[in-house]
Amino acid sequence: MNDELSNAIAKVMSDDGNVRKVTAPHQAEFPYGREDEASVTRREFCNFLFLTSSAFFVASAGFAAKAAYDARIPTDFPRMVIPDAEALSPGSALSFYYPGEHDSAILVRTPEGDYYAFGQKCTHLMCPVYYSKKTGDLECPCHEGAFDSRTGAVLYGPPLRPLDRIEIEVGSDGSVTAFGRYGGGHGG
Amino acid sequence: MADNGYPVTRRRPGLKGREAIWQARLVMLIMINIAQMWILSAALEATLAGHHDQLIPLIAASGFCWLIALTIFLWWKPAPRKAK
Repeated sequence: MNDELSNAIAKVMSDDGNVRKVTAPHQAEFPYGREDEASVTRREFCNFLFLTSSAFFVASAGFAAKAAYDARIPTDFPRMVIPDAEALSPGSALSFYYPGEHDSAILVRTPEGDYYAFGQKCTHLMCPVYYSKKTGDLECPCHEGAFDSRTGAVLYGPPLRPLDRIEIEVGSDGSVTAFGRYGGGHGG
Repeated sequence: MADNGYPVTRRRPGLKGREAIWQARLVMLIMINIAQMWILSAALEATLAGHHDQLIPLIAASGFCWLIALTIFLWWKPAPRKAK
């Protein structure tokens, strides 16, 4: 019995030696010895967990504050000529920002030549949507959602609400002017 | 030596109860942290998806968890040892 125990202990010790030999490069970079493993006491670990709990609470509140900040609905929208819109060929799209410099949007020109503009953030998890020439829809690559490129309505996938709709008008010279942003996305 | 060959360790009276309380503190704090981690991920998803109506209950739940963690941190401790 004692011999078996001694053999088992010797085997474990030899394995330990091998492990230390194999992990020597890592131990050189992170010199954290086995004898130091007990240096974090249970009391300290409990304190750390309480700090973590505080951090989680603050982070949740931070997300809410950011959501409240983003949900502010502007009352007046500036008129803005969308750059390079007149050069947009039918069956393609271009990205722009409206009304603010962080409010991404997409202008679509259908194969028939009509213009439509929407917010570019998917209403599922804010991934940018893109115009698919193959299907003629606005598709989200993150979770495979899709929106109608004429109405912004959800066609399929996880999004529940339509895209933000951007009011536009086409001038006689072919320029496209945005003058409002409403609906489907945030706060909608 | 005990029957199994290991040496018999003697503990001070009352130490087992203190150990249990420390262990309970640890387990409860870990459970609270896991719950708050889930709440945080749900809050992130609600923020990104624009589901702002879900955020207030999530923050309230996270705050409630934090309050429990605070009470554990401040008060749920073993009673001080009696002086001999």
